Amino acid sequence: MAITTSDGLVAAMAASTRKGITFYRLTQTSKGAGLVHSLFLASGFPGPGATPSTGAGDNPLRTTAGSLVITNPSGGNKLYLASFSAQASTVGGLRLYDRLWQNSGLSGTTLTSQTINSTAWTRGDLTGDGVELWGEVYSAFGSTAQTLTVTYTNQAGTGSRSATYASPSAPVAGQMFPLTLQSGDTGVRSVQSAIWGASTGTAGNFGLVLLRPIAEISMGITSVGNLKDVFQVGMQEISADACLALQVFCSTTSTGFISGMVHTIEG
Amino acid sequence: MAIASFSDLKAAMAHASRLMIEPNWTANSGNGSNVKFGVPTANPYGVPAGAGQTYSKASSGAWPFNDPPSGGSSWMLANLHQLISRNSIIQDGFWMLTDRLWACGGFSAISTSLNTITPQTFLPRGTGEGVICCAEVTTTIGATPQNVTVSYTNQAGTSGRTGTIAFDASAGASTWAPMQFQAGDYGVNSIESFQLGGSTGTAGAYGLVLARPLFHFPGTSSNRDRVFEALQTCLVKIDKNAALTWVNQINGNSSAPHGYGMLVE
Repeated sequence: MAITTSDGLVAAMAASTRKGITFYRLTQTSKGAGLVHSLFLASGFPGPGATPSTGAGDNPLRTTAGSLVITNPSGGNKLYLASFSAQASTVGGLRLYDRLWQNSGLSGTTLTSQTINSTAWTRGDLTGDGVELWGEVYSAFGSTAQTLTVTYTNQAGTGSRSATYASPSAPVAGQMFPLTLQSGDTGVRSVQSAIWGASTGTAGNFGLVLLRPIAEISMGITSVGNLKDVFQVGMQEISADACLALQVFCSTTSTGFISGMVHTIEG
Repeated sequence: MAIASFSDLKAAMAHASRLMIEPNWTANSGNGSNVKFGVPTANPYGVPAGAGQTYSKASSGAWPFNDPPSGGSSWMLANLHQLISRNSIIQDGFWMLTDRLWACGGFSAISTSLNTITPQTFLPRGTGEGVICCAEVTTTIGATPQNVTVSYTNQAGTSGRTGTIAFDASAGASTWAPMQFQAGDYGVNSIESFQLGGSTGTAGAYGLVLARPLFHFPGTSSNRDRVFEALQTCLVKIDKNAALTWVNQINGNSSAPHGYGMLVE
Protein backbone atom coordinates (compact mmCIF):
# COMPACT_ATOMS: atom_id res chain seq x y z
CA MET A 1 0.00 0.00 0.00
CA ALA A 2 1.36 3.44 -0.86
CA ILE A 3 2.94 5.33 2.04
CA THR A 4 0.82 8.46 2.30
CA THR A 5 0.59 8.94 6.06
CA SER A 6 2.75 8.62 9.16
CA ASP A 7 0.82 5.48 10.00
CA GLY A 8 1.70 4.09 6.61
CA LEU A 9 5.34 4.75 7.37
CA VAL A 10 5.16 2.75 10.60
CA ALA A 11 3.37 -0.07 8.81
CA ALA A 12 6.06 -0.16 6.13
CA MET A 13 8.79 -0.45 8.74
CA ALA A 14 6.93 -3.23 10.52
CA ALA A 15 6.35 -5.11 7.27
CA SER A 16 8.45 -8.06 6.21
CA THR A 17 9.60 -6.05 3.19
CA ARG A 18 11.76 -3.73 5.32
CA LYS A 19 15.36 -4.63 4.55
CA GLY A 20 18.68 -3.82 6.17
CA ILE A 21 21.75 -3.73 3.94
CA THR A 22 25.11 -3.82 5.68
CA PHE A 23 28.32 -2.59 4.10
CA TYR A 24 31.98 -2.26 4.96
CA ARG A 25 34.85 -1.12 2.81
CA LEU A 26 38.57 -1.39 3.49
CA THR A 27 40.54 1.83 3.61
CA GLN A 28 41.56 3.34 0.28
CA THR A 29 44.44 5.63 -0.61
CA SER A 30 42.78 8.84 -1.64
CA LYS A 31 44.06 12.05 -3.17
CA GLY A 32 43.47 14.19 -0.14
CA ALA A 33 41.27 16.57 1.77
CA GLY A 34 38.36 18.10 -0.06
CA LEU A 35 38.40 15.51 -2.81
CA VAL A 36 36.17 12.55 -3.50
CA HIS A 37 37.00 8.85 -3.65
CA SER A 38 34.98 5.97 -5.02
CA LEU A 39 34.26 2.86 -2.96
CA PHE A 40 32.73 0.97 -5.89
CA LEU A 41 35.86 -1.11 -6.55
CA ALA A 42 36.94 -1.31 -2.92
CA SER A 43 37.13 -4.67 -1.16
CA GLY A 44 34.83 -5.56 1.69
CA PHE A 45 31.17 -6.43 1.97
CA PRO A 46 29.43 -6.69 -0.45
CA GLY A 47 32.23 -7.86 -2.75
CA PRO A 48 33.99 -5.27 -4.91
CA GLY A 49 32.88 -4.03 -8.30
CA ALA A 50 34.84 -4.31 -11.52
CA THR A 51 36.26 -1.75 -13.90
CA PRO A 52 33.41 -0.82 -16.29
CA SER A 53 33.24 -1.54 -19.99
CA THR A 54 35.13 0.77 -22.31
CA GLY A 55 33.61 3.07 -24.94
CA ALA A 56 29.83 3.18 -24.65
CA GLY A 57 30.12 1.67 -21.18
CA ASP A 58 27.46 -0.31 -19.35
CA ASN A 59 24.47 0.10 -17.10
CA PRO A 60 25.01 -1.29 -13.60
CA LEU A 61 21.96 -2.73 -11.88
CA ARG A 62 21.09 -3.82 -8.36
CA THR A 63 23.00 -7.11 -8.52
CA THR A 64 26.03 -5.77 -10.37
CA ALA A 65 29.18 -6.56 -8.42
CA GLY A 66 29.99 -3.70 -6.07
CA SER A 67 26.37 -2.71 -5.49
CA LEU A 68 24.61 -2.65 -2.13
CA VAL A 69 21.96 -5.10 -3.25
CA ILE A 70 18.39 -3.91 -2.82
CA THR A 71 15.27 -6.01 -3.21
CA ASN A 72 12.98 -4.58 -5.84
CA PRO A 73 9.55 -3.52 -4.54
CA SER A 74 6.64 -5.81 -5.24
CA GLY A 75 3.56 -5.00 -7.29
CA GLY A 76 3.08 -1.30 -7.81
CA ASN A 77 4.98 -0.36 -4.67
CA LYS A 78 7.87 2.07 -4.53
CA LEU A 79 11.09 1.60 -2.60
CA TYR A 80 12.31 4.24 -0.13
CA LEU A 81 15.39 4.91 1.94
CA ALA A 82 14.35 4.59 5.61
CA SER A 83 17.69 5.15 7.35
CA PHE A 84 21.38 5.55 6.66
CA SER A 85 24.14 4.99 9.21
CA ALA A 86 27.88 5.01 8.69
CA GLN A 87 31.21 5.44 10.41
CA ALA A 88 34.81 5.66 9.30
CA SER A 89 38.14 5.24 11.03
CA THR A 90 39.05 8.49 9.28
CA VAL A 91 36.85 11.56 9.47
CA GLY A 92 34.92 12.29 6.29
CA GLY A 93 31.55 12.29 4.60
CA LEU A 94 29.78 9.51 2.77
CA ARG A 95 27.33 9.72 -0.09
CA LEU A 96 24.92 6.99 -1.19
CA TYR A 97 24.02 7.14 -4.86
CA ASP A 98 22.45 5.18 -7.68
CA ARG A 99 25.07 4.39 -10.32
CA LEU A 100 23.18 4.67 -13.60
CA TRP A 101 25.86 4.41 -16.24
CA GLN A 102 29.62 3.99 -16.28
CA ASN A 103 32.50 3.51 -18.67
CA SER A 104 36.28 3.26 -18.66
CA GLY A 105 39.15 3.24 -21.14
CA LEU A 106 39.49 6.98 -21.60
CA SER A 107 43.04 8.24 -21.99
CA GLY A 108 44.77 11.19 -20.41
CA THR A 109 47.01 11.71 -23.45
CA THR A 110 44.65 11.38 -26.42
CA LEU A 111 44.07 14.84 -27.83
CA THR A 112 41.36 13.93 -30.32
CA SER A 113 37.75 13.50 -29.32
CA GLN A 114 37.20 10.18 -27.52
CA THR A 115 33.85 8.81 -28.66
CA ILE A 116 31.53 7.46 -25.99
CA ASN A 117 27.83 7.52 -27.04
CA SER A 118 26.71 6.08 -23.72
CA THR A 119 24.35 3.12 -23.52
CA ALA A 120 20.84 4.10 -22.43
CA TRP A 121 20.00 3.66 -18.76
CA THR A 122 16.54 3.06 -17.32
CA ARG A 123 15.29 3.96 -13.84
CA GLY A 124 11.53 4.29 -13.68
CA ASP A 125 10.45 7.77 -14.70
CA LEU A 126 13.86 9.36 -14.16
CA THR A 127 14.84 11.15 -17.35
CA GLY A 128 18.02 12.96 -16.40
CA ASP A 129 16.98 15.79 -14.12
CA GLY A 130 19.23 15.64 -11.07
CA VAL A 131 21.62 13.18 -12.69
CA GLU A 132 25.22 14.17 -12.10
CA LEU A 133 28.22 13.61 -14.35
CA TRP A 134 31.41 12.43 -12.65
CA GLY A 135 34.78 11.10 -13.69
CA GLU A 136 36.34 8.09 -12.03
CA VAL A 137 40.03 7.18 -12.21
CA TYR A 138 40.90 3.50 -12.63
CA SER A 139 44.59 4.05 -13.31
CA ALA A 140 46.11 7.46 -12.69
CA PHE A 141 46.47 9.72 -15.70
CA GLY A 142 49.17 12.34 -15.86
CA SER A 143 50.13 15.04 -13.42
CA THR A 144 49.96 17.94 -15.86
CA ALA A 145 46.87 19.95 -15.07
CA GLN A 146 44.54 20.18 -18.07
CA THR A 147 40.88 20.76 -18.83
CA LEU A 148 38.61 17.89 -19.81
CA THR A 149 35.54 18.77 -21.87
CA VAL A 150 32.66 16.30 -22.13
CA THR A 151 29.84 16.61 -24.64
CA TYR A 152 26.50 15.45 -23.28
CA THR A 153 22.73 15.60 -23.70
CA ASN A 154 21.02 17.48 -20.90
CA GLN A 155 17.92 16.68 -18.85
CA ALA A 156 15.65 18.20 -21.49
CA GLY A 157 17.10 16.13 -24.31
CA THR A 158 19.19 18.94 -25.76
CA GLY A 159 22.43 17.62 -27.21
CA SER A 160 25.87 19.13 -27.75
CA ARG A 161 26.09 20.53 -24.25
CA SER A 162 29.56 20.90 -22.70
CA ALA A 163 30.71 19.95 -19.23
CA THR A 164 34.20 20.71 -18.02
CA TYR A 165 36.65 19.60 -15.41
CA ALA A 166 39.98 21.20 -14.60
CA SER A 167 42.13 18.28 -13.53
CA PRO A 168 44.46 18.70 -10.59
CA SER A 169 47.94 17.30 -10.68
CA ALA A 170 48.63 13.63 -10.01
CA PRO A 171 45.23 12.03 -9.60
CA VAL A 172 45.08 8.64 -7.86
CA ALA A 173 43.22 5.48 -8.77
CA GLY A 174 39.75 5.54 -7.27
CA GLN A 175 39.48 9.32 -7.29
CA MET A 176 36.17 10.72 -8.51
CA PHE A 177 35.76 14.22 -9.88
CA PRO A 178 32.57 16.15 -10.66
CA LEU A 179 32.13 17.82 -14.03
CA THR A 180 30.56 21.25 -14.19
CA LEU A 181 27.52 21.27 -16.44
CA GLN A 182 26.76 24.00 -18.93
CA SER A 183 24.85 26.96 -17.56
CA GLY A 184 21.14 26.28 -17.12
CA ASP A 185 21.40 22.51 -17.10
CA THR A 186 20.10 20.47 -14.15
CA GLY A 187 21.01 17.00 -15.24
CA VAL A 188 22.34 14.62 -17.85
CA ARG A 189 20.63 12.03 -20.02
CA SER A 190 23.60 10.73 -21.96
CA VAL A 191 27.24 11.32 -22.79
CA GLN A 192 28.64 11.55 -26.31
CA SER A 193 32.37 12.27 -26.16
CA ALA A 194 35.30 13.61 -24.16
CA ILE A 195 38.36 15.64 -25.16
CA TRP A 196 41.37 17.08 -23.33
CA GLY A 197 42.74 20.56 -23.98
CA ALA A 198 46.25 19.10 -23.91
CA SER A 199 47.96 15.97 -22.72
CA THR A 200 48.14 15.24 -19.00
CA GLY A 201 51.38 13.40 -19.64
CA THR A 202 50.23 9.85 -18.88
CA ALA A 203 47.41 7.90 -20.51
CA GLY A 204 46.15 6.14 -17.40
CA ASN A 205 42.62 4.82 -17.53
CA PHE A 206 39.60 6.77 -16.47
CA GLY A 207 35.90 6.78 -17.17
CA LEU A 208 32.73 8.73 -16.65
CA VAL A 209 29.80 7.93 -14.37
CA LEU A 210 26.22 9.14 -14.42
CA LEU A 211 24.75 8.96 -10.95
CA ARG A 212 21.75 10.07 -8.95
CA PRO A 213 22.56 11.18 -5.38
CA ILE A 214 20.31 9.63 -2.74
CA ALA A 215 21.67 10.60 0.68
CA GLU A 216 24.72 11.97 2.45
CA ILE A 217 25.97 11.48 5.97
CA SER A 218 28.84 13.01 7.91
CA MET A 219 31.32 10.84 9.77
CA GLY A 220 32.68 13.66 11.84
CA ILE A 221 34.22 11.78 14.76
CA THR A 222 36.64 8.93 14.18
CA SER A 223 34.94 5.56 14.38
CA VAL A 224 31.74 7.02 15.81
CA GLY A 225 29.80 7.99 12.77
CA ASN A 226 26.23 8.98 12.44
CA LEU A 227 22.69 7.77 11.85
CA LYS A 228 19.96 9.51 9.89
CA ASP A 229 16.37 8.44 10.17
CA VAL A 230 13.67 8.36 7.52
CA PHE A 231 12.85 12.05 7.80
CA GLN A 232 16.49 13.12 7.86
CA VAL A 233 17.19 11.24 4.63
CA GLY A 234 14.03 12.70 3.14
CA MET A 235 12.49 9.28 2.55
CA GLN A 236 14.23 9.33 -0.80
CA GLU A 237 12.80 7.03 -3.41
CA ILE A 238 15.15 4.35 -4.69
CA SER A 239 14.42 3.24 -8.22
CA ALA A 240 13.78 -0.42 -8.95
CA ASP A 241 17.03 -2.07 -10.08
CA ALA A 242 19.09 0.76 -8.59
CA CYS A 243 22.80 0.08 -8.25
CA LEU A 244 23.52 1.58 -4.85
CA ALA A 245 27.12 2.68 -4.41
CA LEU A 246 29.20 4.87 -2.12
CA GLN A 247 31.65 7.72 -2.52
CA VAL A 248 33.68 9.38 0.22
CA PHE A 249 34.31 13.07 0.73
CA CYS A 250 37.82 12.81 2.12
CA SER A 251 39.53 14.70 4.92
CA THR A 252 42.98 13.29 4.22
CA THR A 253 44.87 10.83 2.02
CA SER A 254 43.05 7.75 3.23
CA THR A 255 39.36 6.99 3.44
CA GLY A 256 39.65 4.85 6.55
CA PHE A 257 37.72 1.66 7.19
CA ILE A 258 34.08 2.47 6.55
CA SER A 259 31.05 0.52 7.68
CA GLY A 260 27.36 1.12 8.07
CA MET A 261 23.88 0.13 7.11
CA VAL A 262 21.04 1.20 4.85
CA HIS A 263 17.42 0.34 5.59
CA THR A 264 14.80 0.31 2.85
CA ILE A 265 11.02 0.13 3.04
CA GLU A 266 8.37 -0.19 0.38
CA GLY A 267 4.84 0.94 -0.05
CA MET B 1 -1.86 -7.71 16.05
CA ALA B 2 0.12 -6.32 13.18
CA ILE B 3 1.62 -2.89 13.71
CA ALA B 4 0.12 -0.70 11.04
CA SER B 5 -0.01 2.72 12.68
CA PHE B 6 1.49 4.91 15.38
CA SER B 7 -1.43 3.94 17.59
CA ASP B 8 -0.60 0.28 17.11
CA LEU B 9 3.04 1.01 17.89
CA LYS B 10 2.10 2.89 21.03
CA ALA B 11 -0.15 0.05 22.12
CA ALA B 12 2.58 -2.48 21.46
CA MET B 13 5.11 -0.42 23.42
CA ALA B 14 2.80 -0.50 26.39
CA HIS B 15 3.27 -4.25 26.44
CA ALA B 16 6.89 -4.31 25.34
CA SER B 17 9.37 -6.87 26.51
CA ARG B 18 12.66 -5.59 27.89
CA LEU B 19 15.91 -6.61 26.27
CA MET B 20 18.61 -6.14 28.88
CA ILE B 21 22.01 -5.35 27.47
CA GLU B 22 24.91 -6.97 29.33
CA PRO B 23 25.46 -4.77 32.36
CA ASN B 24 28.62 -6.46 33.54
CA TRP B 25 31.05 -6.07 30.71
CA THR B 26 34.39 -4.61 31.57
CA ALA B 27 36.72 -2.65 29.40
CA ASN B 28 38.58 -4.20 26.55
CA SER B 29 41.85 -2.73 25.42
CA GLY B 30 40.67 -2.87 21.84
CA ASN B 31 42.77 -4.23 19.05
CA GLY B 32 44.64 -1.05 18.38
CA SER B 33 44.00 -0.84 14.69
CA ASN B 34 40.82 1.15 14.44
CA VAL B 35 40.07 -0.84 11.33
CA LYS B 36 38.59 -3.98 12.78
CA PHE B 37 35.54 -4.84 14.72
CA GLY B 38 35.72 -6.00 18.31
CA VAL B 39 33.43 -7.61 20.79
CA PRO B 40 33.48 -5.89 24.17
CA THR B 41 35.49 -7.87 26.71
CA ALA B 42 35.84 -11.61 26.39
CA ASN B 43 33.37 -13.17 24.04
CA PRO B 44 30.48 -14.16 26.31
CA TYR B 45 29.82 -17.16 24.10
CA GLY B 46 33.24 -18.65 24.89
CA VAL B 47 35.48 -20.53 22.49
CA PRO B 48 33.42 -22.26 19.80
CA ALA B 49 33.75 -25.95 19.07
CA GLY B 50 36.59 -26.59 16.64
CA ALA B 51 34.56 -27.69 13.64
CA GLY B 52 31.89 -25.16 14.32
CA GLN B 53 28.58 -24.81 16.05
CA THR B 54 25.39 -22.89 15.53
CA TYR B 55 24.09 -20.44 18.08
CA SER B 56 20.70 -19.50 19.42
CA LYS B 57 19.16 -17.75 22.37
CA ALA B 58 19.58 -21.04 24.23
CA SER B 59 23.37 -21.00 23.79
CA SER B 60 25.50 -20.40 26.82
CA GLY B 61 26.31 -16.70 27.01
CA ALA B 62 23.38 -15.55 24.90
CA TRP B 63 21.39 -12.55 26.00
CA PRO B 64 18.14 -13.66 27.57
CA PHE B 65 14.86 -12.29 26.29
CA ASN B 66 11.31 -13.51 26.24
CA ASP B 67 9.51 -15.25 23.45
CA PRO B 68 6.80 -13.20 21.76
CA PRO B 69 3.61 -13.90 23.70
CA SER B 70 1.62 -14.25 20.50
CA GLY B 71 3.69 -17.25 19.50
CA GLY B 72 5.17 -15.27 16.64
CA SER B 73 8.63 -15.92 15.29
CA SER B 74 10.19 -12.51 15.86
CA TRP B 75 10.19 -9.24 17.73
CA MET B 76 10.70 -5.73 16.46
CA LEU B 77 13.19 -3.40 18.10
CA ALA B 78 11.21 -0.27 18.98
CA ASN B 79 13.75 1.47 21.15
CA LEU B 80 17.40 1.09 22.06
CA HIS B 81 19.02 2.85 24.96
CA GLN B 82 22.76 2.73 25.46
CA LEU B 83 24.65 4.06 28.44
CA ILE B 84 28.42 4.21 28.66
CA SER B 85 29.40 4.31 32.31
CA ARG B 86 33.12 4.02 32.36
CA ASN B 87 34.98 6.98 33.77
CA SER B 88 38.05 8.78 32.53
CA ILE B 89 38.32 7.40 29.04
CA ILE B 90 36.32 8.74 26.17
CA GLN B 91 34.52 5.70 24.91
CA ASP B 92 32.58 5.94 21.77
CA GLY B 93 32.90 3.88 18.63
CA PHE B 94 30.32 2.62 16.24
CA TRP B 95 28.12 -0.23 17.30
CA MET B 96 26.49 -3.11 15.52
CA LEU B 97 23.82 -5.35 17.01
CA THR B 98 24.20 -8.76 15.40
CA ASP B 99 22.68 -12.22 15.51
CA ARG B 100 25.51 -14.72 15.98
CA LEU B 101 24.65 -17.63 13.71
CA TRP B 102 27.65 -19.93 13.57
CA ALA B 103 31.26 -20.01 14.66
CA CYS B 104 34.27 -22.27 14.86
CA GLY B 105 37.32 -21.72 16.99
CA GLY B 106 40.44 -22.90 18.71
CA PHE B 107 42.69 -22.82 15.65
CA SER B 108 46.38 -22.03 15.88
CA ALA B 109 47.72 -18.87 14.32
CA ILE B 110 51.07 -20.51 13.60
CA SER B 111 49.56 -23.34 11.56
CA THR B 112 49.21 -23.01 7.81
CA SER B 113 47.26 -26.26 7.47
CA LEU B 114 44.00 -26.21 5.56
CA ASN B 115 41.13 -26.31 8.02
CA THR B 116 38.13 -28.03 6.48
CA ILE B 117 34.69 -27.61 8.02
CA THR B 118 32.98 -31.00 8.02
CA PRO B 119 30.19 -31.59 8.06
CA GLN B 120 29.14 -28.39 6.33
CA THR B 121 26.89 -26.49 8.70
CA PHE B 122 24.02 -24.37 7.49
CA LEU B 123 22.62 -21.25 9.01
CA PRO B 124 20.11 -21.77 11.82
CA ARG B 125 18.04 -18.70 10.95
CA GLY B 126 17.22 -17.02 7.67
CA THR B 127 19.11 -17.07 4.41
CA GLY B 128 22.73 -16.20 3.73
CA GLU B 129 21.92 -12.83 2.18
CA GLY B 130 23.44 -10.10 4.31
CA VAL B 131 25.38 -12.52 6.52
CA ILE B 132 28.96 -11.40 7.14
CA CYS B 133 32.02 -13.48 7.99
CA CYS B 134 34.76 -12.44 10.37
CA ALA B 135 37.78 -14.08 11.94
CA GLU B 136 37.29 -14.14 15.69
CA VAL B 137 40.34 -14.09 17.94
CA THR B 138 39.88 -15.77 21.31
CA THR B 139 43.54 -15.70 22.43
CA THR B 140 45.94 -13.02 21.21
CA ILE B 141 47.80 -14.08 18.07
CA GLY B 142 51.31 -13.22 16.94
CA ALA B 143 52.90 -10.01 15.75
CA THR B 144 53.39 -10.98 12.11
CA PRO B 145 50.40 -9.82 10.05
CA GLN B 146 48.93 -12.59 7.93
CA ASN B 147 45.95 -13.21 5.71
CA VAL B 148 43.40 -15.97 6.07
CA THR B 149 41.96 -17.32 2.83
CA VAL B 150 38.41 -18.56 3.25
CA SER B 151 36.47 -20.83 0.92
CA TYR B 152 32.75 -20.30 1.33
CA THR B 153 29.35 -20.84 -0.21
CA ASN B 154 27.71 -17.55 -1.07
CA GLN B 155 24.16 -16.29 -0.61
CA ALA B 156 23.08 -17.90 -3.88
CA GLY B 157 24.38 -21.33 -2.90
CA THR B 158 27.45 -21.14 -5.12
CA SER B 159 30.34 -22.96 -3.47
CA GLY B 160 34.06 -22.44 -3.84
CA ARG B 161 33.94 -18.70 -3.39
CA THR B 162 37.08 -17.09 -1.99
CA GLY B 163 37.31 -14.48 0.71
CA THR B 164 40.28 -12.87 2.40
CA ILE B 165 40.76 -11.77 5.98
CA ALA B 166 43.68 -9.59 7.02
CA PHE B 167 44.90 -10.07 10.56
CA ASP B 168 46.61 -7.10 12.18
CA ALA B 169 49.75 -7.66 14.20
CA SER B 170 49.00 -9.04 17.64
CA ALA B 171 45.25 -8.97 17.16
CA GLY B 172 43.81 -9.34 20.63
CA ALA B 173 41.09 -11.49 22.06
CA SER B 174 37.63 -10.40 20.93
CA THR B 175 38.83 -8.97 17.65
CA TRP B 176 36.53 -9.57 14.73
CA ALA B 177 38.52 -9.13 11.50
CA PRO B 178 36.05 -8.83 8.62
CA MET B 179 36.25 -10.93 5.48
CA GLN B 180 36.56 -9.29 2.08
CA PHE B 181 34.04 -10.97 -0.18
CA GLN B 182 34.55 -12.18 -3.73
CA ALA B 183 33.14 -9.80 -6.34
CA GLY B 184 29.41 -10.17 -6.78
CA ASP B 185 28.75 -11.74 -3.38
CA TYR B 186 26.59 -10.23 -0.67
CA GLY B 187 26.26 -12.97 1.87
CA VAL B 188 27.41 -16.36 3.14
CA ASN B 189 25.50 -19.60 3.46
CA SER B 190 28.34 -21.64 4.92
CA ILE B 191 32.09 -21.99 5.35
CA GLU B 192 33.89 -24.79 3.55
CA SER B 193 37.50 -24.30 4.65
CA PHE B 194 40.07 -21.70 5.63
CA GLN B 195 43.84 -21.42 5.73
CA LEU B 196 46.36 -19.03 7.21
CA GLY B 197 48.91 -17.71 4.71
CA GLY B 198 51.79 -17.93 7.17
CA SER B 199 52.57 -18.06 10.83
CA THR B 200 51.78 -15.01 12.92
CA GLY B 201 54.50 -16.09 15.33
CA THR B 202 52.29 -16.99 18.24
CA ALA B 203 49.68 -19.71 18.27
CA GLY B 204 46.99 -17.83 20.09
CA ALA B 205 43.58 -19.03 19.01
CA TYR B 206 41.15 -17.93 16.37
CA GLY B 207 38.21 -19.12 14.35
CA LEU B 208 35.52 -17.80 12.05
CA VAL B 209 32.11 -16.41 12.88
CA LEU B 210 29.04 -15.88 10.70
CA ALA B 211 26.71 -13.16 11.90
CA ARG B 212 23.75 -11.20 10.65
CA PRO B 213 24.02 -7.46 11.32
CA LEU B 214 20.70 -6.11 12.55
CA PHE B 215 21.24 -2.49 13.49
CA HIS B 216 24.21 -0.14 13.20
CA PHE B 217 24.37 2.95 15.37
CA PRO B 218 26.88 5.50 16.65
CA GLY B 219 28.03 5.26 20.24
CA THR B 220 28.50 7.89 22.87
CA SER B 221 31.10 8.85 25.42
CA SER B 222 31.71 8.23 29.10
CA ASN B 223 28.74 8.66 31.38
CA ARG B 224 26.48 9.72 28.58
CA ASP B 225 23.61 7.93 26.99
CA ARG B 226 22.04 7.69 23.60
CA VAL B 227 18.55 6.62 22.65
CA PHE B 228 17.35 5.39 19.29
CA GLU B 229 13.60 5.43 18.86
CA ALA B 230 11.43 3.37 16.56
CA LEU B 231 11.90 5.40 13.39
CA GLN B 232 15.66 5.18 13.89
CA THR B 233 15.75 1.45 14.58
CA CYS B 234 13.38 1.02 11.62
CA LEU B 235 11.61 -1.58 13.80
CA VAL B 236 14.27 -4.06 12.81
CA LYS B 237 13.21 -7.65 13.30
CA ILE B 238 14.89 -9.83 15.91
CA ASP B 239 14.28 -13.54 15.57
CA LYS B 240 12.93 -15.04 18.78
CA ASN B 241 15.88 -17.46 18.76
CA ALA B 242 18.57 -14.88 17.96
CA ALA B 243 21.95 -15.10 19.70
CA LEU B 244 22.55 -11.39 20.12
CA THR B 245 26.00 -9.87 20.17
CA TRP B 246 27.36 -6.35 20.31
CA VAL B 247 30.11 -5.59 17.87
CA ASN B 248 32.09 -2.38 18.15
CA GLN B 249 34.08 -0.51 15.55
CA ILE B 250 36.65 0.41 18.12
CA ASN B 251 37.86 3.93 18.64
CA GLY B 252 40.84 3.46 20.91
CA ASN B 253 39.71 1.38 23.83
CA SER B 254 36.37 -0.26 23.97
CA SER B 255 34.05 0.19 26.85
CA ALA B 256 31.42 -1.15 29.13
CA PRO B 257 28.09 -0.30 27.61
CA HIS B 258 24.85 -1.20 29.16
CA GLY B 259 21.30 -0.31 28.54
CA TYR B 260 18.19 -1.90 27.24
CA GLY B 261 16.09 -2.42 24.20
CA MET B 262 12.33 -2.43 23.86
CA LEU B 263 10.89 -5.37 21.94
CA VAL B 264 7.41 -5.15 20.46
CA GLU B 265 5.26 -7.29 18.24
